[in-house]
Amino acid sequence: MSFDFALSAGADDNHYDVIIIGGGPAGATAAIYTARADLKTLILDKGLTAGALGLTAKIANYPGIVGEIGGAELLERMREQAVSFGAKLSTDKVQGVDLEGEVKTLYTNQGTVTARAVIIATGSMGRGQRVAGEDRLLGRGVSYCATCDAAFFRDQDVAVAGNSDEAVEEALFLTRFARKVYLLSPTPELKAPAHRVAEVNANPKLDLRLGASLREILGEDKVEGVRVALRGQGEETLAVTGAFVYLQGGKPVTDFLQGQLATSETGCLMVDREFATAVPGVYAIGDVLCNHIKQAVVAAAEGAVAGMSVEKHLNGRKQLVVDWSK
Amino acid sequence: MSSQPAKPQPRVIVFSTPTCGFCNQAKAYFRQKNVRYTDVDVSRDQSAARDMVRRSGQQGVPVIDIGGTLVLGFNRPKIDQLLGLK
Repeated sequence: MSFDFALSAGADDNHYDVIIIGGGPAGATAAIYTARADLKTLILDKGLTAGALGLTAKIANYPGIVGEIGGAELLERMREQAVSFGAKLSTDKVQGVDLEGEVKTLYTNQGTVTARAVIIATGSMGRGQRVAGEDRLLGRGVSYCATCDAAFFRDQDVAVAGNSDEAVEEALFLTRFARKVYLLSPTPELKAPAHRVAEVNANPKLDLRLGASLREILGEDKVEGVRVALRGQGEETLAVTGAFVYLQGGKPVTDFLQGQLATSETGCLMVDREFATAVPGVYAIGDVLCNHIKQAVVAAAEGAVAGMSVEKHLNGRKQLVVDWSK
Repeated sequence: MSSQPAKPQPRVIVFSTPTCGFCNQAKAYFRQKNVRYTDVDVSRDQSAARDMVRRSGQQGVPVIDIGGTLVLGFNRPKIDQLLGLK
């Protein structure tokens, strides 16, 4: 046991002018604009294939890109462009926030970071419906954060449901603690970069099940198993004591806000024409607003406007400034 | 430092892991409110982890012990109630 009164928040290295949550086309474009405006910019992103563009096989209508390009490749180019202007990109997940006041605090898997402004660009691939048993057994074997809770599953068998690189990362992390990790991908292939898939295949503790949909989490007071539907092969029950869920859906991702921003009836964040929310210094862009056509070019355009809005807000300008070229 | 609570503060123990956002959020909240707490890193202290699971039935962090009452997760209203915070 030890006393911990260290103040990590507020240290210069962890304090930014603007933190952008989500590195999709909206967030990456916002970062291009804020970094180019000399604002200290951090992008926090769960992974290249955690969002809609990263999962898109081919895109052929993005202006300036002639011919087809993979969504992940287009996204990497946008991120590289933001980084080239000085933005920092960190693979991390925001668990909670404190948005009130002039300094915004974000609690992530890797620590605590602060900023004068926050742009929420988390997209709309959040889960809607839960599977049977999930809510009841939350904290009793059901978890959404392997990096938080893996230590409780030392030498036990666990299941990870999901196919994104976030799910893969968490499954690989769990192999350090668990005896066996079933990785249940609802699709016939993992939506993760090839080198990560290779790591999965090479890890003796990982048992990858492709086309396996999580149907139910079983157990009375704690998780005792999962019921899984296998594509074209009926169902099976796996005896596990932990179920880590990273499935995706079509809902705006706002759970980490813990109700600090108002949402519409359908769970969407609400903003003004400069993409500012009701909380000063907090902006939202892209599919998390879900009031427009879901196209990368639209999300990118919103990112550009929000980037300029943040610059205006932080520098006390009255009007948006479009060109920072020297 | 701001004013101390009128009554002695109950003992506060935060069962946490270093990579848990809600744990850090809870600890930051305690610091902000000048609440003294003991931090137990259950990723390093296996016997504490087993004790926490046995007492709470929880296999997730944070679990916060406030004067013997267990709070599951960063449940701010419950914490405020138990510590008499506003």
